[in-house]
Amino acid sequence: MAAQSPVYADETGSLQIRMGQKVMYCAARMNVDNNTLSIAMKDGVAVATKWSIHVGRVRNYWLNEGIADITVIRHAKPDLLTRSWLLTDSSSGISRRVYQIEDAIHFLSGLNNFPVLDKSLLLPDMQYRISISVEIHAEGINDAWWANLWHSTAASMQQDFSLP
Amino acid sequence: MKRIDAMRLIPLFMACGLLTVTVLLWPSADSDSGFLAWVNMAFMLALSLLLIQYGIRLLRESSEPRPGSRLRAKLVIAMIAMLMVPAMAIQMAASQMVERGMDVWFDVRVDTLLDRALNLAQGFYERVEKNTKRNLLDYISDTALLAAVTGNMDYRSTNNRLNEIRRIEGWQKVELFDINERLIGSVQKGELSALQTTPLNDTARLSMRLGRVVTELESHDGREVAVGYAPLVGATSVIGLLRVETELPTGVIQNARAVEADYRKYRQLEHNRQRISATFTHVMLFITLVVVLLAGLVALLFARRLTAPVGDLAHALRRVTEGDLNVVIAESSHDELGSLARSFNQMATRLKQNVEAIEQAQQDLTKALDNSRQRQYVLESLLANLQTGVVLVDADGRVRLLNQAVRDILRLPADWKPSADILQISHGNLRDIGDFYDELLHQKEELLQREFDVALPEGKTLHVLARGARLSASGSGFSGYLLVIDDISDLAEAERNKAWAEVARRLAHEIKNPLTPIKLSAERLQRRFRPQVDNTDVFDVCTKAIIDQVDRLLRLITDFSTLARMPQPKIRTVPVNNLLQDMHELFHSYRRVSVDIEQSNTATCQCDPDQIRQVLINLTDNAIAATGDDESRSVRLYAQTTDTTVEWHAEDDGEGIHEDAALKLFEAYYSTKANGSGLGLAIARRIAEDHGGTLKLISRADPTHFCLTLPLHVSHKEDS
Repeated sequence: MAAQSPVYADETGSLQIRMGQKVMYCAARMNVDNNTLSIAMKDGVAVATKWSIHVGRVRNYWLNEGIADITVIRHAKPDLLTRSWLLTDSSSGISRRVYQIEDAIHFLSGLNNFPVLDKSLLLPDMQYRISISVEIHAEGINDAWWANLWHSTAASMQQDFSLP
Repeated sequence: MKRIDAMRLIPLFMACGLLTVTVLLWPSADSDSGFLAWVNMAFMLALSLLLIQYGIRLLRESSEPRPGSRLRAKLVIAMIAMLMVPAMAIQMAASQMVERGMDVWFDVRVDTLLDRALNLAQGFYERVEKNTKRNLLDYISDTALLAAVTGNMDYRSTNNRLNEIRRIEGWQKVELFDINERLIGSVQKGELSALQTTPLNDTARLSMRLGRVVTELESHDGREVAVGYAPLVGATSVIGLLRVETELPTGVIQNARAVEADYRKYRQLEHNRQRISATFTHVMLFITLVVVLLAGLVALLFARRLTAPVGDLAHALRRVTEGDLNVVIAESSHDELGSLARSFNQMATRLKQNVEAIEQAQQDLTKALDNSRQRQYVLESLLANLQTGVVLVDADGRVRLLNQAVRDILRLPADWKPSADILQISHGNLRDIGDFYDELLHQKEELLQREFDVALPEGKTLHVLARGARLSASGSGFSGYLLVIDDISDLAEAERNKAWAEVARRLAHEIKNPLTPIKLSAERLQRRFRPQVDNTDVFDVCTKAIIDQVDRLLRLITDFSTLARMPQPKIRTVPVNNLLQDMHELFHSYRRVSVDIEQSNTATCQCDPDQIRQVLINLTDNAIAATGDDESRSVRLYAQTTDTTVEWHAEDDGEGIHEDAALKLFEAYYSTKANGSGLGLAIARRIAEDHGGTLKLISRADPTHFCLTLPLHVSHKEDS
């Protein structure tokens, strides 16, 4: 049995939750100016998007209780000689090469049917909130500790949900 | 309104400037300015807040700042300003250089050059791919390959065909797969690299599914291989796949990859141009801020070290100004400041010595002044209490000092005051004073003594003794003249009275002796020869005249004796009304004499009743004589008492007393009556004075009024 939540959407992106039999999935898409990414990617600049997914239980008068924190990084490394882009998903380790920049941008700017967490972690009649923030890193992600101190968020989405 | 020191506003001005710079350099939300930009903002905001807090504290401080703090603040501000100017200039120049450098780095020619280089590299790959595709198209319907795929050709023949194709096309490796992706045959140049075949990938499957020739690049151990996939098309569908590999030349590949890497790096830099510029600006700003902060701290330390001696000196000067001369500052350094400190210490020491000397002198002067004031006070008290009049005249003839006694004695007018010229103010009845001074001024002797009369404004004449002395300037430093005035009227009168008493005593003695035989002889003549004379009337008149005149002479001599030897009053307590009662009994035969006795008056006085009765009789006799025989004119006697005195009043409605006679009324031997001795009122006044009282003429006429005043109590009571 699968149930889909209403689509959350604003000017930065859209988010939708789908409950599978045992897993909760989400579909998120970031509204990003294609020129911003395409110009850089056509010039050979490697681009990565870092998706930070946080699921928490909503509590009144207190901070929300964290349930899950997931980070997904998607890379698009251009090959100027062959005019192709090598796409890599850090969560699955799968990479593929595409020859259309639109495919690369689509890969970077969305998560489709992404498994978030096991439904057994969720309790019925409880209100939960999923928050997703996306950072765009040109020239790849700097792994130094200080690089994470300050970075602007390209998009952020959140949606409340509960078990059906 | 309190005036605000401009120095105190400088931190606020600096904070405003820093806040303005902060606002101008504030990173925009869409610019990825980096962490350093926010560090700079935080740094500048913190500095601004510190300056604002410091400025507000300065403004709220009402007290005077610590000595040297202003100089220190000026030095720090000057040093920071001196550092800020070149730092700002360097930053601006560096920014300009970076901008110019970026313009050079990202020049259009370089851009074009890299584009062309990348195009060349891309063209090589395209050519390789095109060639591979074109060549592969020739084998899509190759019968031998189709037979091999369908299993109608043996393995050797298949490999021969593949080897032939590899040799003809110059491919590195040729592999043949059937529709089930099973390897049918494989040949390659050189020795075998692996025993197992590589399974087909998605691209190969796509090629079979679409029926199109597809190429891709693969990297193997640092070398790149162009891989081509050609579907083998049978009668109706794809029945196999031909996979070929062409190894790209290593040198060309390396160059192409180098071009790609350079292009990518260049484009990355170009994309980050703004960020590089901003980063450089913020790095420079950060360095400038750090340098300014460090310079400020160093300047503060340096200024503190430099201004500490100045502050100590200012503090010491303030203490000296406040009167604390026990100030010694440290002479730590050997430079100009140390020399200044030594000079200050010497100055303070000398100042302290001078102040001590001045204080000692002041104490001496104060003591001398106190002594002088004490002497002056004694002198003034002496002069004030002195009954002798004293006038001190300086060398210029101006009055320097005159005591109250001289004013009282001479009844001096208001123009007699210090600094007045004595010759100018000595006019009228005081002309003799001026003449006395003038004589003293022009004589050669040091001392002068004169007696003269001074007519007082009320008509009385004083007999004064004036003594003058010339004061020399030696010793006191004052030169002038000292005039001493004594009222010797009483003394002169006493001497005159004494002389008169002596005369009277001798005269009475000489006259009284022959008078008694004369009187006896006249009475004897009257008794013996009266019957013998013819004209008895003439005889009686003559003898009676002799006897009367002798009696008159005897009374006169008695008065003279009385005046000369006035007995001491025999004081006793006498009721006032008793004396009035005596007068009533004596004069009740005169109808015009009325004696008012107030019965309720029980007052007594202490006096010699005989002498007082004599005075009252004298006053009543004079009143009766003044009224003559006119019964319409009355004589009134009455008494009044006060808390301290008793008064007997005698009034008559007679002709009154002439003004000139009134002035001499109480003088001895002055009488307005033809047969009066002129001693009655003189004796009466003397009795009054001997009792400590007075006898005064209250009014000369309408009515003529005399008043005898005696104290109720006398100090010495002398009982008989």
